[in-house]
Amino acid sequence: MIHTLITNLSARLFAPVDEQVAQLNDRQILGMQFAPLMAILFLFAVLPVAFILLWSFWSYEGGEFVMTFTLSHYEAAFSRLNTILTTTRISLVAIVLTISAGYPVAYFVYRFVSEENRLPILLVLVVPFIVNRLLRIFSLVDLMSTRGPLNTLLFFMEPIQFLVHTEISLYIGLLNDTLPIAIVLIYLSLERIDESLLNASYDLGGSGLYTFRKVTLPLSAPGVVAASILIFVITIGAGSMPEIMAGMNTYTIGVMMLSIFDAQQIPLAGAVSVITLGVIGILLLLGQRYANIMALFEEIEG
Amino acid sequence: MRMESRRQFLEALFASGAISIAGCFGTGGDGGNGGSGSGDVTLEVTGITTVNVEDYSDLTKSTSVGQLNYTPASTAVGEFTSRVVEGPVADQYAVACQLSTMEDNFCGKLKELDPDQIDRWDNIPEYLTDPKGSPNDPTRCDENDRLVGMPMVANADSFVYNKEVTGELTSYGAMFDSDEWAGRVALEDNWATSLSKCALYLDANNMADIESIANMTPDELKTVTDFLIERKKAGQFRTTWSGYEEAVSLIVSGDVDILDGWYPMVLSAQEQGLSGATYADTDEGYHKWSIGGYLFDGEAGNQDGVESAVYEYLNWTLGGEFGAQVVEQSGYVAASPAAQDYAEENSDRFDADFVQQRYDDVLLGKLEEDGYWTNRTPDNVGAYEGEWQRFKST
Repeated sequence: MIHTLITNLSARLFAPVDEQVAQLNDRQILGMQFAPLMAILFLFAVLPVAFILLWSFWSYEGGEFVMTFTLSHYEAAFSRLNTILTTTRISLVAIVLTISAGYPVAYFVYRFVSEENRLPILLVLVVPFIVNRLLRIFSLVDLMSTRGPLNTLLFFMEPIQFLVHTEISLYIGLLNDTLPIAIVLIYLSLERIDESLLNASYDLGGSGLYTFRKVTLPLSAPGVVAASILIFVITIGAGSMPEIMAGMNTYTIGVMMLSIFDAQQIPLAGAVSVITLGVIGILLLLGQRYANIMALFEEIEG
Repeated sequence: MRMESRRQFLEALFASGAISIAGCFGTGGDGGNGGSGSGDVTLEVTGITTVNVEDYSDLTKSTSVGQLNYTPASTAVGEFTSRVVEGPVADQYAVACQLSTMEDNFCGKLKELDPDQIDRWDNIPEYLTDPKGSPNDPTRCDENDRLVGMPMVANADSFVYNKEVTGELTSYGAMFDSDEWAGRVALEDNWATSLSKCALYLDANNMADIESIANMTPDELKTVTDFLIERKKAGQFRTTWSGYEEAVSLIVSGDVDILDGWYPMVLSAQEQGLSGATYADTDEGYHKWSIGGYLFDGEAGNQDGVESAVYEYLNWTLGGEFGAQVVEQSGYVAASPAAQDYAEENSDRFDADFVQQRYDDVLLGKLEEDGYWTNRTPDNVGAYEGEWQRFKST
């Protein structure tokens, strides 16, 4: 039996490649094709999260983890649920604001700008990203500060104070960060729309608004979904933006994490991250239950 | 003092890549600016930028230190500690210049310091090597009482304010407890300073009974935080800051008139046209701190000639050249008063009056007055962070 096993194994290993491939079944071939992707996902997504989960149950003393099981960090993390929910709320509002502002711009470029001018205009939108992020944040604050250019121009009025160090100023900052992404992604999905579908709608008597509602908007959903996901990821973990732009009454996870790490409470950071993932998971479940959000992803596959 | 706090954290993240590369090639980090001199020892130092002076030529021409490479490091306790304990820092660098009391987190990585090898050790005021009433010795390891550090730079912190708007302010009450300045105050986003300064105010004004401001109990922290929350709800504080430029911008732009901040911010604000920028002399006392030099017991620190070069470096920092440069750069003072006479003798290079004024004010003045010595490793650090979180999230 062993002799047979060795003979068969040897024959498989040292057979010509074509012959080896021919001996594989479909499932094995599919597995090999996805193996590199799975390895990357495991290394950069699964493994880090697994470590975070593990750390959240350990202690941290003198710069080293102590592998004693404890739930104390979760107790502390749940006391910060308010901050997690606030950050989630801010992220969802940022999505609504960004998509509301970005979609019209993307649609305008798609609909009214000639093809040869579209790329230059989109590049102009993206160019600010080349500037260091902190510098952009500081310039925004400077622009809207009490003695900044905006209030200097409006010298005839009392200085506008609510545009800095408030939740409103945080949304302005987040919009500055995420609007170009949203515009580009939505534009790309608009550009993929088959024009013959729009023409068919007009030919069948559909008005411009009707065609937009029934044809253009649904077919551009993948871009909106992709932009929303990116905006959420950027805003939920944002640290420097809320720290500089938000005021006393707006406290986010990113800012809290800096404080946690400063106190060497790394397992607590892990517990907060796990709970945040849980909150996001619950939101997705609720979204699917009441708004069938997964259908949007089917649009992407379609 | 921890200068560009979070900003330096961000810079240090970038620098940590340089550290790894530097370690591989045995060269310095991106903060080095020591010139080549007659000595043949390259000294690798990491720490707060406050201690990194612009000109090391006086050191390199007179000692065995031929080159000093200074790599900026974060003042965030957790981040720096983990890099020392779990990372390569203790092997890549011979000296760490960090906020005193942080060393208790990595005592096992430090050599014992021999003060007999530092000629100017006796020039250091006793209150720096042995601050009375401090819960945490800045030069000795808590766990075994080994002498591991030497004070290098110090200051007595209070707050920054715009005198042209507020008039003279002499109490933390203006920052924490004043309806007149409600909404015109920014706090540092740091539990180690904001909670402690508030505790100082409450304790000095008999509004709370706190046994040790630098090492508060959970109940004491709760009392301080309850007060801060009450004042927050009353609209006392406009915002918090975490970066140096951010803080300066807040007061220069007029968004706030009172800022829980550091002395160099006064100089920066004045340079940007805010002539009224002033550092408060406070009735309640000061938030006192020092930066210490600590010797790593690793690969870099044990190379031939390095240990003696380190002692030459430490000795040099107690001299006039280093002290005068520190004052000119930041307004802070070195741990010895030698800079005063040195600046006088070199008045072509230094503003002798300013150097004199700072040493009189701080080293020979405020550091001996009321207040507390900062403690970056309090017993209840989790409670400090938790209460700060409670304040910020309310």
